[in-house]
Amino acid sequence: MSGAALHRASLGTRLAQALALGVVVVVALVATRVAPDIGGSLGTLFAIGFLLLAGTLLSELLETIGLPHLSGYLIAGIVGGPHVLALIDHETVENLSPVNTLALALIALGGGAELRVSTLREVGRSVACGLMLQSGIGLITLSATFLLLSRYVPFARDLALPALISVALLWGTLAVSRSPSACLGVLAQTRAKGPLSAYSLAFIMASDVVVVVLMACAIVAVRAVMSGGGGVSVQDLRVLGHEIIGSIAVGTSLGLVLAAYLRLVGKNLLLVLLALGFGLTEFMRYIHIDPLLSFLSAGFVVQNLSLQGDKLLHAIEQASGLVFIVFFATAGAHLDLPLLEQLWPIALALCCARALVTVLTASWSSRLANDPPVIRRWGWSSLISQAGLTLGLSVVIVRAFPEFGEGFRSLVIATVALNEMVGPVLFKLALDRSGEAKAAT
Amino acid sequence: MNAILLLLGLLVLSYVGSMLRGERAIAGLGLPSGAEYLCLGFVLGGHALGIINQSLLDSFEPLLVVGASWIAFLAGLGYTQVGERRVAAGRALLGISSATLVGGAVFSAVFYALPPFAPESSQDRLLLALGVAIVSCGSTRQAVRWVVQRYATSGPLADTLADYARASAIVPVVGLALLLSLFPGPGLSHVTFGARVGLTFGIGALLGLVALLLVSRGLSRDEVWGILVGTSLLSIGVAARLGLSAVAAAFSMGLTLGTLSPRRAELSAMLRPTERGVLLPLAVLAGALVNLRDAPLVAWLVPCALLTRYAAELVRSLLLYAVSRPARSAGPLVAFGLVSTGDVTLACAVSIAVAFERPAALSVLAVAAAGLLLGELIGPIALRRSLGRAGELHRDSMPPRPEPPLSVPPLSEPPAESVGSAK
Repeated sequence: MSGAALHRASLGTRLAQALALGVVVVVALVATRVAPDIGGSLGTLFAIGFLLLAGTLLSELLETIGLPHLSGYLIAGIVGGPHVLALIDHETVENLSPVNTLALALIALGGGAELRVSTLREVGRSVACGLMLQSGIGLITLSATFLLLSRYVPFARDLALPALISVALLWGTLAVSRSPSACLGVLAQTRAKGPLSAYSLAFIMASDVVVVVLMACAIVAVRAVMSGGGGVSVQDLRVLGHEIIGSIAVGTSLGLVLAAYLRLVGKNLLLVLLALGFGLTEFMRYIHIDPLLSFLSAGFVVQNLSLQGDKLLHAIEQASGLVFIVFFATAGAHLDLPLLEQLWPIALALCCARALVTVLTASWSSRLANDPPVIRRWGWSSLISQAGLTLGLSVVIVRAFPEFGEGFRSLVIATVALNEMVGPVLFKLALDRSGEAKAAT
Repeated sequence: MNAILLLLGLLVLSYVGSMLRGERAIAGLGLPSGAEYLCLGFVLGGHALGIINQSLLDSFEPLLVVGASWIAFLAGLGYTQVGERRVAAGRALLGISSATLVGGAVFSAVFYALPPFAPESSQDRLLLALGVAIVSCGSTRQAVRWVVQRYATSGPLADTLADYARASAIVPVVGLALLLSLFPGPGLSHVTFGARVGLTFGIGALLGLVALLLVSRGLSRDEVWGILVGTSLLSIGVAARLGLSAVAAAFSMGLTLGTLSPRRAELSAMLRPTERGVLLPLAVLAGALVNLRDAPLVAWLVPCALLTRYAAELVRSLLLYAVSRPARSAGPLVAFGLVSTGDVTLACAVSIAVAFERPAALSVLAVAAAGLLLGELIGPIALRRSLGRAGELHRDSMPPRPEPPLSVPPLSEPPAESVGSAK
């Protein structure tokens, strides 16, 4: 759903892309069959090159049947990954994890920078009602749904009840996360303007902040339960408070520094973002600060306390193009297909439950906030998509809880894949039907 | 030092490098190929302070390979052009043959003079001789460009030397492809030597054609970046996987794209700023790799290689005298005007050090570093004097001037949109 999709590609271009994709796959296949074990870090270069090219080309080709680019990246990763063509092995997939760090930093920074106070004011009441119901009722009902279905989830089947409730809480938190990128992509493609567009953008960006804070709380709570402590102590809450306040403070400072840099220098932003993404993230982890919340705050400060927001967004857009292809393709390659074979019914059930809860709570919150009819009818449509933020949070969970993290992440990827296939299509349909979409695509 | 700190340091260097990309800055600061950063790396590396140790360097191996290959890709992309002028075919031929002559002389000197000095294995002897020849035969286009820009020189001799330097870049690259094909990885051990060499350049050419096919479809700037980075990394990855030269494959890809693409000028303008941004971190890492304690025969190899090269340069100047009228007026110093080896040589040396994890490869890197430093000191001075004698030097030093605008329109910007499309 990129802006590039604004210009329709000709048949010749599509044929050229298909031919190029064929050549890339054949070259990669021959190379891996002739030299199966490259070992070491050089395999990473091969993997990044393949994922970048195959992801780009496949996403362009899938665009012709209306699928979003992200699906192309995921499919490229799945096909090239260890379980289908085995062009990329498990070790290499693990070696690509630094890309996740960078992608998450860019997603958070961009998400914060998209959160404009002026937009929040316009739709503040609607967003506040929506956030309370979606995050509150959504979290509880979707956690409960996971709990009910847990006997069909392989990694959760044998967990004791407290641990199971903890995992369900993590699931519920992830389930209320949305996809800022999918929303922005569809809005950019359709050039939509109107109450539905403004509401969707503001709600999703604000919900980013809420989800990141909820996740930080959930991780502290779950860690306390999993470590056998039995509950959350005052010390845990103090640590959590320090983490959240510290993250916002560090993020605010970073935002001010970034704004000053953008105003006074404004060059080489790609390198600056790389340094932030790799270096600062590590530093924040070292001092127990949540990088996601810090980057969200930094982006928000740059957008709302300076005039440099658009410049930052443009730089993030340029830097993120290649990073996100590798990020999503790696997520696809990481997908444990044998596990997914067992999980797909449960993934589908969880997606359906999430969609149902989202539609019902959106309808209820619209009535409470006395929203205009267009939001009452279509307000839910942008909330189905899940993508980068959800996948990123699942990486955080893998790191925090390695004992069940991998299985959890596979289920997350499976549900994200389904939501990402359907979500953008629904949102675009809503914008078309509501008359807010201005460009024919 | 941990990997993150080193990465941040390299990003800072890359930042500095991309700030130096403007012609004014190149003319005013540092050596032509940034050899001073090689010294910085040496000081920080295992031989001196030990801040960048071997395990860190091992974890940065992919960056070394990518950096070296990207330099080769850029050299291939701009191989047929000097600025907006095409390299003259006759001069290119002479540049290639004279660089081959220099390389052949160095190879012979090392290969045949080595046995009395050390009981190396025949493989190591070949590696040393061919490796030292590879890192001693090239002439950097940057030294010529540096002098031309700094002293505002122009004329037939400056053009001739620029063409020679540009054309000579292919010789070390071909040498590297031959060297790595002589020592194949397990996957290609049953394939003939000629097929391995052909495969090295074939991979690059094929992926260059893929890039050409896609780039010529009127894509946006961001999409072109994706295609170029993707095809480059794939060619590097495939070559490395097969035990072939990633540098040669990348050069071949750049050459294919640069020769056949109607958008070559746009691509060059787009990629030019990355040259120094990649070169400086690469130079630091290469300097850190140099470890004289573990490199055998360096004390013998360095003078042998350099003396042979400089003697061969005198022979090259005779060739120049014979075929180029402007060279005759430049005097004998013109022989040393092309001794700066520069970025492609550095890329080849790094590639050898990474590909062959044995002491002989470290000796090759040490010779390359010594040759690079000496060449950076001698080459530009000799070049300036020669051009002065030929009457092509228009001023003693260049006053600061603003960076000239690009003469080609930039690639189309992508449509304005928010954070990104891909998430």
